[in-house]
Amino acid sequence: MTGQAQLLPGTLDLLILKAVSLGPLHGYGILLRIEQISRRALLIEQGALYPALFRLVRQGLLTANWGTSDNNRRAKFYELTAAGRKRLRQEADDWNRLVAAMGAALGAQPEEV
Amino acid sequence: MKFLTWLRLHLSSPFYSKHINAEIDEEMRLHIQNRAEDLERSGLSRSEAERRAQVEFGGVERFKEEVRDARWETHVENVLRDFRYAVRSLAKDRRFTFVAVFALALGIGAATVAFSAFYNLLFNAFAAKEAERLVVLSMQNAEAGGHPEFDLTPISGTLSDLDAIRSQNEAFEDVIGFGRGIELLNDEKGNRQVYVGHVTGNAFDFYGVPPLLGRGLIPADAKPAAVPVFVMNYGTWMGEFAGDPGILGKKFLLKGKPRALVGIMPPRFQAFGAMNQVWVPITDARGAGGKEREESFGTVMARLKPGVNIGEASAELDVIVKRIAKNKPQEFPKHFTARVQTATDFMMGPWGIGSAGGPETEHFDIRHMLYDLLAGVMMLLLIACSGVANLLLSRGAAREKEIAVRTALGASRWRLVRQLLAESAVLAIAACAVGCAFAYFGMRVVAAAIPHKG
Repeated sequence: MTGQAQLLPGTLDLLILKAVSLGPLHGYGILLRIEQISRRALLIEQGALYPALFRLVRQGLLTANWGTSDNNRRAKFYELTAAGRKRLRQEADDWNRLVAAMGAALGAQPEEV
Repeated sequence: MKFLTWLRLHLSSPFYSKHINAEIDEEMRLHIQNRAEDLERSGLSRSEAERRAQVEFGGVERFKEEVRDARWETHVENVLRDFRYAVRSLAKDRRFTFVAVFALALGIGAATVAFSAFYNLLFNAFAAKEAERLVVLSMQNAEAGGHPEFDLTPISGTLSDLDAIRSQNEAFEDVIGFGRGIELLNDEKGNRQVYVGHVTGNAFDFYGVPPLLGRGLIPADAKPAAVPVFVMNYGTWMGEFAGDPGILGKKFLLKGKPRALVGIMPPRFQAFGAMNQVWVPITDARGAGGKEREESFGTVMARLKPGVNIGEASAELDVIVKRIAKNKPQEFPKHFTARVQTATDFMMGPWGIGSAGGPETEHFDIRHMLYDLLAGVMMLLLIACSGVANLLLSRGAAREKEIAVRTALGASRWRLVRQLLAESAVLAIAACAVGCAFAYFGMRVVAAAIPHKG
């Protein structure tokens, strides 16, 4: 568990959107995908995925359909809607701007001021 | 309707919530199972893997709760519960509820009645079409008594004046003129004195209220060669002729001249002066009868074109009327300005129905009386509100124990506030309902006090 960063509030939704944008996934698959694409650097409260997924479906950013998983179990698969794709693009842009700004601010040297 | 069915399904069907719950349960169970299998594959014992998976997932119930909170239906359910509770707790304290509702209802009822009267007199006094654009052409005599409202008199004019105004302005859609008299109406059954409105041929079209029976007056009736006709009001028709539709078309003698009755106006139709019982067209005798002096009538009314305001219309009118005055200076004061006033202002003013005496009397202007009345009733409503607020406060003090218990049981501050708000809302809604009933009967009392002439 060491070396893992706590998620900032609000970023879980963005991560879910990103994970699902790479292909339809069920809940556990989303967790694995996030761990994989974040190189296991993020600490995710697993149960918190489900309220977030429910919310995203409600907002029309995801659709959910029952299907069969690789190990032949009935599972709910999530897919990105057009609105979800748009939201992902927007939030990713916002995030990149924030990161760039924070990076610049925190990297400032005395002589630059 | 579709939305309501849907709402009911979502709110009241335990099946729906159960369905959601079951799905989430299944998803979470699958997740933990998958996790446990992965952990087992990485070398943990089966029981250890299952334990770890459970711990990593966190509290299933907590997340289910979160899902429930994410549903807006949950909030609606909570609000409904608050209201149900509020009704129950108000029902327990009947005396308080009765007093509060009654006081508020009285205030609401009185305010509604007063406002209705106010609205109908000041904002919606005329049944005419586009009544808000009706204006009375008036002039302000600069030399008379010096009372600004009393010296603002309607301009009287002849048919030629009307034509001049009609052709020279850009502000008015149409212009009508009318005057009135008391004349004798005879048929074989006898004579009666009636108030007669003399109107220009376009007046009924201008006003736009359809007749109850027959037809209104039309421009052709004002032609010199036209068959003489007249129109009667509802009250006279009912009172003198028992509402007999057979009298339509019958000839009467009005001021000794035979005239055919062509139409009956609907109840409460009152136009072109107060209390008119019959209306006759003003015959346009110009050209036919040579160069005799034209008769002028008391009031000239116009309808503003859409978008034209009182100021613009007044400026135009002043120019036109000054031009007319140059040709017959004996009929106009030496110094005056012409302007338009809204039909409502005219009606409420000293020359309209509001005239209860000259400018020397305190309330010769009915508008001020109405404003006073409205202010009084608003104060009454305010008093009712503050009284009920006091009652609620004292009830709140008596309920401290209940609130303490609910806080101890885990009710949040916001939850308590919501509960109390729900109670106030229930009181207000009940008071509104009762107040509307009061207002309904109050309006009937007011209506009964209005003379049924007309």
